[in-house]
Amino acid sequence: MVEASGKKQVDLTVELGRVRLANPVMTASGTCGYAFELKDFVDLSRIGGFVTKSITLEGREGNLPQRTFETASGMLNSIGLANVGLERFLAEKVPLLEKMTVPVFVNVAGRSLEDYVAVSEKLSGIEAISGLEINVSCPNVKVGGITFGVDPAATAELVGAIRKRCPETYLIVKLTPNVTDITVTARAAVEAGADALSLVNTFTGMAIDVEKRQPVLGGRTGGLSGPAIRPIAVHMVSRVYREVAQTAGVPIIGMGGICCAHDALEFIIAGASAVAVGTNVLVDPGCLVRIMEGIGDYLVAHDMKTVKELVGCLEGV
Amino acid sequence: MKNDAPNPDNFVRRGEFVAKIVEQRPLFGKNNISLNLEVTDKAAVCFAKAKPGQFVNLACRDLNEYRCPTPLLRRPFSIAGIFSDSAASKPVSGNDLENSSQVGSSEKLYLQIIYSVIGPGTNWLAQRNPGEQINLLGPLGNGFTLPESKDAKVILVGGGVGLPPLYFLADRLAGQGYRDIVAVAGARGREEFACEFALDKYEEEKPLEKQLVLQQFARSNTSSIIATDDGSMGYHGNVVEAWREFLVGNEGWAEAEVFACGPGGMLKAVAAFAREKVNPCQVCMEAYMACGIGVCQSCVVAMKAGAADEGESKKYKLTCVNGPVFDAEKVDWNS
Ligand SMILES: Cc1cc2nc3c(=O)[nH]c(=O)nc-3n(C[C@H](O)[C@H](O)[C@H](O)COP(=O)(O)OP(=O)(O)OC[C@H]3O[C@@H](n4cnc5c(N)ncnc54)[C@H](O)[C@@H]3O)c2cc1C
Ligand SMILES: Cc1cc2nc3c(=O)[nH]c(=O)nc-3n(C[C@H](O)[C@H](O)[C@H](O)COP(=O)(O)O)c2cc1C
Ligand code: FES
Repeated sequence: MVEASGKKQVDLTVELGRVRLANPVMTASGTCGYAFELKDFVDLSRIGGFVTKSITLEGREGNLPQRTFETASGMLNSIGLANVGLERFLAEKVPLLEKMTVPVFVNVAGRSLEDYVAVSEKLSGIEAISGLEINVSCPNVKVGGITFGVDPAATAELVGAIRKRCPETYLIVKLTPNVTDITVTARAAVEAGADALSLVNTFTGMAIDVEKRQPVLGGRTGGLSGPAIRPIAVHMVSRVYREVAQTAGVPIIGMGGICCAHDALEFIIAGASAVAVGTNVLVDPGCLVRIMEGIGDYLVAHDMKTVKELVGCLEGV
Repeated sequence: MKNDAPNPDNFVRRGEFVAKIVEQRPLFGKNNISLNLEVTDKAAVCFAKAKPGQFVNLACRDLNEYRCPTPLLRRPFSIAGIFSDSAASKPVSGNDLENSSQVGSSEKLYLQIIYSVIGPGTNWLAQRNPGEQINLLGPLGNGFTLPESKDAKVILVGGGVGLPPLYFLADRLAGQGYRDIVAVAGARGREEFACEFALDKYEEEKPLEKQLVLQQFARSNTSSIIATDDGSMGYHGNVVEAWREFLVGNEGWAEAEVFACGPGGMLKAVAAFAREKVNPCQVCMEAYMACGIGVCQSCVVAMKAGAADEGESKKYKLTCVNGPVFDAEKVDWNS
């Protein structure tokens, strides 16, 4: 697909392995609802791909309020994966997703390995769904609540188990940044069969009400997102690309604080084949289309024909 | 090609719009400002259909400034009035709500927002001048449901920055032909009212007699009772106490429909008193919002067991899309 930008035409299509997107700009899980919630504010047929909020086996009410809090150039959230659960998702939301004209990815979360596998199996083979994004940033209740994604062995076991039961399913593994070395968990995910990696999820943080001397958020801690995390996220994408993904031929979906085309280009140059926008969609849903157009303008201005030429072209590292 | 909405109702009711500032006017209370915004075209069509209780989510910064996006999130504000003239004297009556031709695509509408300057977002707003533009999402949320009978007695109970949506409600009720409306308006002290007063007409010694004193209510010929926690104006006490005292000698108002907006604690007390009086009561609630459009799940309010069943959660409703107006009987006031 070609987006005209000015007079020149540029090719914005990207191939995330076997899934093709018309352009590299996707929504980030948890910031765009289940399907058409944003339709009055942005033309969802013009984005590259749509990622649903996290779906779990059983419905979840989520955490106690207060659930979000604005911080310097960012926000904390402790939504607690509130969602309707697999059964209602299949009955009520998948029929809506069938009407989406762009590739749809369903984000999968769970409390145990068995949960993830069960949800992934049920969502495999559904025509409206192009792939699954596995959110490994969840605590494993069976081993004392340790987050799957911080332990390379647990990440490999989880991704391997889903891969085994869903051999044909396109799997994106969404990495947590709350680790010492993200290339280690990235490698574990790739070796266990990930088709693509998405990074980053939110950074764990806390805000304190100094009058009450209590955490501001009902969930006590929350995930930090938005422009505040962008430089760290860009660095992580750059490292994962050079040290893991490039040689393995596994595409990266980069995210963390993207607000405009400039920010998206940073991720692409660092090695992301596509990008996702989360926090800024909450503020300015129309930015999804403007970012896509801005990437086109950049290609024209730099005499490039395809966005693919830009991926990982970072010099001087 | 636009994505086909799964919703059969394809008529656009809300969106992202740019509004032009017509006026910023300081009000009676300290740091309270009335903002008058002009909207045109599609925005005018959407806002012609807006209901009292609905709100807008304002970008309190230049959205194209990416290096230092402060404040990052939008700020929600209730609609305090919608007018067909820039002088804000002709409220849109809503009589032809279902007739989309009421406002042609070339027409303009004027929105009133009344806000209190308390932090970075409202400070930024206060510094804007007429002629400047503001980006907004709206109209958002559900809005109040008007009483079935035009003969119903209506009591509006508001506190602090909970008053503005009730001004719009009073305009609409009057425009629709409801006649018996009284407002009970409260604040901590006289300096904190988000309104204007006709003080020359105010009979201070009769605080429990309804008077045409609070201008934003008086514009729809709605009289009000003023109450302050510190006794610096009107009745010395909170709005519920003032309302209780008002009923003594005004027994005809014991059976009424109640519409309330204000801080959580006040709404809880209003809901309890409405229940005691067996008055139907709708409350317009506040919650910390990140998106205002139903995608982030920030703004949950807990419902009583069984009251949230039709929604996506058994326990919570979203203030921004299922609210901000809720039936007081359904809210779990003890959560
Ligand atoms: C549906 C709705 C309608 C509202 N209508 C009005 C109105 O008509 N007029 C008006 O003056 N204000 C209204 N508010 C409150 C208004 O949104 C806040 O005052 C505003 O966000 C403050 O922004 P700030 O950056 O100036 O201050 P901040 O520093 O962000 O906030 C100052 C204080 O306000 C609190 N606050 C921030 N956001 C909210 C929020 N969303 N809800 C409640 N408290 C908040 C903060 O916790 C803090 O204590 C409404 C809120 C909601 C949810
Ligand atoms: C309100 C909110 C809810 C989120 N919910 C989810 C979720 O359900 N699953 C998930 O994998 N990531 C979730 N995320 C993380 C985002 O998808 C994204 O990885 C992160 O916010 C970084 O991108 P950003 O800075 O553009 O927001 C959420 C983020 C926010 C702000
Ligand atoms: S504020 Fe985001 S869902 Fe209500």
